[in-house]
Amino acid sequence: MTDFKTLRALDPKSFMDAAQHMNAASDKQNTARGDYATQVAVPVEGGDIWSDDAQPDAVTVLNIMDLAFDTSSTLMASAAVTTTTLAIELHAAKGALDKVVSDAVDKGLEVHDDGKVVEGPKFTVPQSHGYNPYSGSIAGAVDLGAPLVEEYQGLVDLAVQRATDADDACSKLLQQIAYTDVPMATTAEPGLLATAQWVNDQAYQTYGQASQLLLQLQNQANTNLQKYKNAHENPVLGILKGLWEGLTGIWNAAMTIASLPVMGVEALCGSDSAKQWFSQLGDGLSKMNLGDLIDLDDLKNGRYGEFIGQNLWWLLPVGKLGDLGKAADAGAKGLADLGRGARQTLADVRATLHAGVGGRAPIPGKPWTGTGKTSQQLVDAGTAQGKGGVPRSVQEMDKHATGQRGSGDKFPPLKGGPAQKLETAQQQLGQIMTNPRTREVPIVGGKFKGGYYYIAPDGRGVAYDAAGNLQYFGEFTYPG
Amino acid sequence: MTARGTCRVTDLTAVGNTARGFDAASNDSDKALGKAEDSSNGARAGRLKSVGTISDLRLFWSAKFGSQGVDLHTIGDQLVGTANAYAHGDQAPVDEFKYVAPHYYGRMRPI
Repeated sequence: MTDFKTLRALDPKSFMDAAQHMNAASDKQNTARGDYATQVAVPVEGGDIWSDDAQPDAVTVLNIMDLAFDTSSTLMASAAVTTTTLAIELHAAKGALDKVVSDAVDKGLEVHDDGKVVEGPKFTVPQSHGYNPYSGSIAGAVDLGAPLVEEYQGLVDLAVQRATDADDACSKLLQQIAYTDVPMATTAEPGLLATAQWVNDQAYQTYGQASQLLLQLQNQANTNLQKYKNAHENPVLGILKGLWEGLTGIWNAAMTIASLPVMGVEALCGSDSAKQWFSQLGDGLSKMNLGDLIDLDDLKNGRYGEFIGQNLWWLLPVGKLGDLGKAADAGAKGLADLGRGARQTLADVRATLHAGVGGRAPIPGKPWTGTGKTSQQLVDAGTAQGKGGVPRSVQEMDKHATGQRGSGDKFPPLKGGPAQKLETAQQQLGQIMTNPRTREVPIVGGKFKGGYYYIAPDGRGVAYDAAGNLQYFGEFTYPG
Repeated sequence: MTARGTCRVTDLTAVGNTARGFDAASNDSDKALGKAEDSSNGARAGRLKSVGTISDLRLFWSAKFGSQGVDLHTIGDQLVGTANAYAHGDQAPVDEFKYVAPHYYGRMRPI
């Protein structure tokens, strides 16, 4: 268990910093996983560059290493979330303790280095004064502290207990993460891929556990507070206001941020309603007195992106998985699934944030921010009939295909009969819309104001009006 | 040994060389975890046992990341080795990724 002296000297922010570094370790593994898949695993697995009896063994090894990246990333993320929980709980416990001590001293009590609360020196009213206003008696010793010693001792113990509970629980989970073996291989050892998959499931389960820990500890702290109330006749509780309870703000924040892929960056950071929402969020989180622990100043000063960037990685899983009832019903396997879900949401939100203002990378199957349509729907819009019953994509491609105009050669020539032309036009459209680096850029003026351009990295682009109707192809400057 | 197949030597060599470089990701992860340990040590945390656990975490994971880095580099070597075998016209290139069970001799054989 920890003690009074430790808690008084403690700097919880250091654990928040530690958690940020753990999260960086997680990110490096996660990024490496994606790069390894596209640059190593996919070329080898495809069989185009190498094919013989040995190649399947290499594929097995690469799959094991792919899982090792993911497992390591998930476990490092679990350690980061656990350490953040430790920082928040210690911050709450220390904040409460510091206020209790300060208040106790103001009331004339003394709090020793071992956490023992005692009465301070008694104020003695000289005989000559005759009347003691505190005791009502005529002269003698004035006992200011006695009725309060027990109450304050209870609060000191409560704060130390909270720190101890957090330390015990977080240390236990961190130990579990420390000792987890991650299967890795350079040869296709039989059965190892299945073991690696099993360990990967365990890692996601650990992530689920880590994400729920904050709520469990806060519930425990509230139970202990109730016991304190029951045990004391006149509990002094005002001191703890705002320091002991209040995860609601975190959940609200997490839930709203989780909707980012749908809302989009511009809607989140630029609109008046979003600004109002962020202001409310700042007020809510302020009540927890989290202060500079989670860079609340960024939120207060309208630097929403910086606040989210700093806290998203722990805020989202803690908010999403904080519902203890849901997790209890889910069981171990369900918890792992929830953990995967939270990680995916996190990845989606990050993809949205990283795309920046002026467009975003498409998330397969999800609608684009501007038009609210999926890539598939926008491609299908190309087959809508235009003048003379000619599909819109063919009609517009005809103006921009190579050889049709004096300049520009990014689009191929449009040749053949109607069917072949349609195939070529739709193929071009599909290539633009499904390129993971294609950007959505608002049309801010002209006939199609309110619509959007979709621009591929090679400059091929297509414009849609506000209703999602294809208007024209063109060659654009890629916004990056 | 394996039957001869097909190999685009230049491409597979390039992939192997790329694969070798991924050991940097392991080193970077280890460095980040080292910074986490430093931060935790700076918490003036006295009797808090989590500080010791974070040090353990760093210690064990340093070994894991080290091992990952070695394996990633080795896999790159093996891919390049396979490409080289094809480049040299070997009729039956060695399966660099084949698992070979450890051999036991005399008393070392498990019962």
